[in-house]
Amino acid sequence: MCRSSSLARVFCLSLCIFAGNIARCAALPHFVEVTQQAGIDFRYTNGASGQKYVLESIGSGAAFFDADGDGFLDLYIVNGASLPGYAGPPAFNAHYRNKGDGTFVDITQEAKTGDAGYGMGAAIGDVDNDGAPDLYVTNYGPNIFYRNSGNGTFVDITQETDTGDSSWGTHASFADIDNDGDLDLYVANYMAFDLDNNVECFTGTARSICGPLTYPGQSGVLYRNDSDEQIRFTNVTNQVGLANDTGRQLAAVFGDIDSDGDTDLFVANDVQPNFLFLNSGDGTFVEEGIIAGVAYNDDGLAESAMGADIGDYDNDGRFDIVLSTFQWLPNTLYHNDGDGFFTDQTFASNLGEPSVPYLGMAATFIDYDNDGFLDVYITNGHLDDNVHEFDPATSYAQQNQLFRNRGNGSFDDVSASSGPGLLVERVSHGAALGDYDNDGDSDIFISDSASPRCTLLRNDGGNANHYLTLELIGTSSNRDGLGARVRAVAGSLVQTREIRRSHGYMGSSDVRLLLGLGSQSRVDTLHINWPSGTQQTLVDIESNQYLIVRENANN
Amino acid sequence: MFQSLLDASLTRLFRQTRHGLLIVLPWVCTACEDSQQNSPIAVVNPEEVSGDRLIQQGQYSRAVEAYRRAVQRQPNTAMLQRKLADAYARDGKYALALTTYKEVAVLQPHYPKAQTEQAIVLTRLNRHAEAITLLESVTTSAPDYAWAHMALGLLYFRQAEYDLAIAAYQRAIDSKEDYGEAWYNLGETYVKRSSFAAAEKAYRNALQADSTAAKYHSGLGISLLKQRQLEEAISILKRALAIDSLHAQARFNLGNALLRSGQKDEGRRHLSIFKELENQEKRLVSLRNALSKNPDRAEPYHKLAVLYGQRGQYEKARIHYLQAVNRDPDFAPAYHNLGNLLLRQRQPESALKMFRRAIQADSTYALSYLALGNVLMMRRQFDQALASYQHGLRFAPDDVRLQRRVTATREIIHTSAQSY
Repeated sequence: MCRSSSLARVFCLSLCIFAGNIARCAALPHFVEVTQQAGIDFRYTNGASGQKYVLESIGSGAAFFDADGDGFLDLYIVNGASLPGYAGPPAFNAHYRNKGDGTFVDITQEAKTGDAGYGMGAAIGDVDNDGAPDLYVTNYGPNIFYRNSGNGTFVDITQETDTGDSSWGTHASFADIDNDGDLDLYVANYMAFDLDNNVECFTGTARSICGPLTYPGQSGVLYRNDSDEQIRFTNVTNQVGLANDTGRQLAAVFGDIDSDGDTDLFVANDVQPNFLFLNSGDGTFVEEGIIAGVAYNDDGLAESAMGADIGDYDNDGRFDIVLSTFQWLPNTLYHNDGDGFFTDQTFASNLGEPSVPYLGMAATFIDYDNDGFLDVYITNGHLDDNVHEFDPATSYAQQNQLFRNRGNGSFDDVSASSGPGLLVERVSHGAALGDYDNDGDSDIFISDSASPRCTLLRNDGGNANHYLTLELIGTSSNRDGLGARVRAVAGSLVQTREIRRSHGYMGSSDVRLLLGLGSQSRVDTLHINWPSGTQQTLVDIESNQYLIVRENANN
Repeated sequence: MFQSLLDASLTRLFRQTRHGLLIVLPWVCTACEDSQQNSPIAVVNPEEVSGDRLIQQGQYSRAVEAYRRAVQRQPNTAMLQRKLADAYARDGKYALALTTYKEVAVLQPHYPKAQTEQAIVLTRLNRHAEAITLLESVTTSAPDYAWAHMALGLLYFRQAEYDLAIAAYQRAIDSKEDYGEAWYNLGETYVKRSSFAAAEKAYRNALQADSTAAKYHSGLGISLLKQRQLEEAISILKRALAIDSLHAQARFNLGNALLRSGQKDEGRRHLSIFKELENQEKRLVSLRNALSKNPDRAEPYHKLAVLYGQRGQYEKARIHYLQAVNRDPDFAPAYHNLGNLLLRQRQPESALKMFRRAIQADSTYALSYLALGNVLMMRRQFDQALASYQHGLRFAPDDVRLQRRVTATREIIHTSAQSY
């Protein structure tokens, strides 16, 4: 009954909540924490020693990707490092192989991906189109580029590709900005913080993490893929119009915002206006955030934006933007009106009010219940471990939030009714989404900045609805199919999605597209618009399967 | 209270930015008349009168001293203690203000105005939960005291407790029907609830209370914009900007409304101005933060004053220059800039005194010799002007303006001597 229609779902949900009847809510998927039983023993190190380096508050991201090509998502977790005054053991990034039975094993040493820099984010992209996804790690300090050898091991190619930007890298994203069939790389940078010039900031009389305007901003960097037989990248930030050091960039998400066939770039800025770089069609960009209405929220405020994602939450065929923001600010939902403008729908969609008491970090669209409507998942956690000293109304550890799409452009906060995995309070930062157990629903990995350091949430029941998992293989387009636009029609359910890895907060998610189909057991038509311009249509596809679609291949 | 300390146009930033955790609310106390009388016999306390005058002039440090003397004269007068606490707060000395409010509470436990002010000071110190508790107690013991209800509403609003905020504003309005601020804040809360028609009504009521408030017009404009009444929204937002061209939110929404109505160039123009205003506001917030951390330093006050002057907010600039020199009586640039401000306001005699005061504070401050010379020239005191320019040149021998002035003044003196 709960799944037959949007109205019925709302009714059912209301009934659950008002009746306080857990049993009747059982139809909703639940998230269960399985970190330990999955064998993930990662411990995040922020290197804090009481000096309140702004660095230690930012946390890190993680990536779900099939590093060894066995069909199961592996996990890469970015770690911090020691800071002056910290006495703990050295810290390294961690690489876990998915054994295919719901458990993981640490293969960092074998994979040779255990970078010891002060890590921030992880971006995945198959830059040499060899079918083995490569890994780029952002750091406070020089970033690291690992090429996947295809046998489960990686080689550091930072020097030879000259991609080790040494600014404070945060969120990196791969995309084919010029639609030439290979993946380019954008690296967002935060600010010019210097460990030797650690400004002491206070809130009231309590020492606190300094705000982002304490230090000058840094421009992001765009590396164009100019590979031939060798992997080559060229820093073309200035030429393509992406040089801008006025922001404090924390998230960078590519997506075809204006539906013109090339990928645009949205950059979420902390305290400064967000950027919307629209692609002119030739791989150059023009910043139009303020004109489009995504630079400032409805109050005309430059938000303290942290994480961001792009997705079509109302299934109108256009990509919208969701943002997480600082404590006592609402997260923001920008609706794409299709005429070049966005409307702030935060409060109208019910995403605003419940988010104000939290400090949001990762903001992601996720169809966790496979009903064909994108829900929103937000990780929360404060930056200051002593926040209680200057703001007793909040806390360092906070509950993460899940907002279920009602199917009418608004959301219900279902954080309290979506299983024990969502009830815990942690200092959560990055999040990676992916179906690690290949059971047809999206699971979530969260990197936490304080004990117990990370969380793997298994989605139980998301696959009660029908689904279709798509893996696209580009031939003329980039191998990952990043940027491919998929339009799926299943009965009355019409969804437009885009293949994307990097989103949320410094993280990278499953490249496979998990299409929730609700009660529809077949997809009538599946139209793929590849970045190369190739159009491909598949018809009458059975649900609940894992489908690989190769560009240009016969259906 | 705190009216001159606060800049209403900044409240949206203070209220909601990451740096605005020290919540500063648009306290416009139109409902906080102080009817406290401790003694049936009215005693004129000259120090109190002096303090009141200094508060009016924005000389908060000196007002503190005056009220302290007044309190020494009449130590058990709650109202005097309250005024002292208020002066401390205006002067950025929140901890001292809080201590003094506690003394007020000992003298007179039920004193709604003092308690509401104390709650505001608590918010300055980021102690919002205590502020809420205090205000809830005030609104219970003095249910007709509108200001406390409104302050409480703002604190609920901060925590996104919109139902509670709406109820609190409504109670404020019930106590004082023409309470424009309460109507305005009610409108703001309805906007968050996406109840735009209700918001429009609230803003219109606010405008009935005060049709000269730019932010009420701005609020109304936004509510109309949300209801897709573009033309009327544009008209109302333009009215807001006619009243206050620095109103960033009105500018922002006007820009957006124009863009959406197809007037792209005009929309872009307004958004470009908005961006500049936004940058200015960020600088103001940053300076205010610096000021709240170091209330005894003259420099942040001076910087704020300069910025206010650049924005054309001359009265605010004047008050902040005074604050700067109160903290550092030898701060020559503040005297100098104050002199320039007075010149702009066509008060050359007062300006002259300020330039002289700047030179007294720093005898090497060449700019003030130049300015002083210019005023003396206006007064046709050519010899003294020449002397001032020449003095300046001793400390800035490469200053072209001074060099030119010396030459020109010599010529004038020479010509006048010949004609004589």
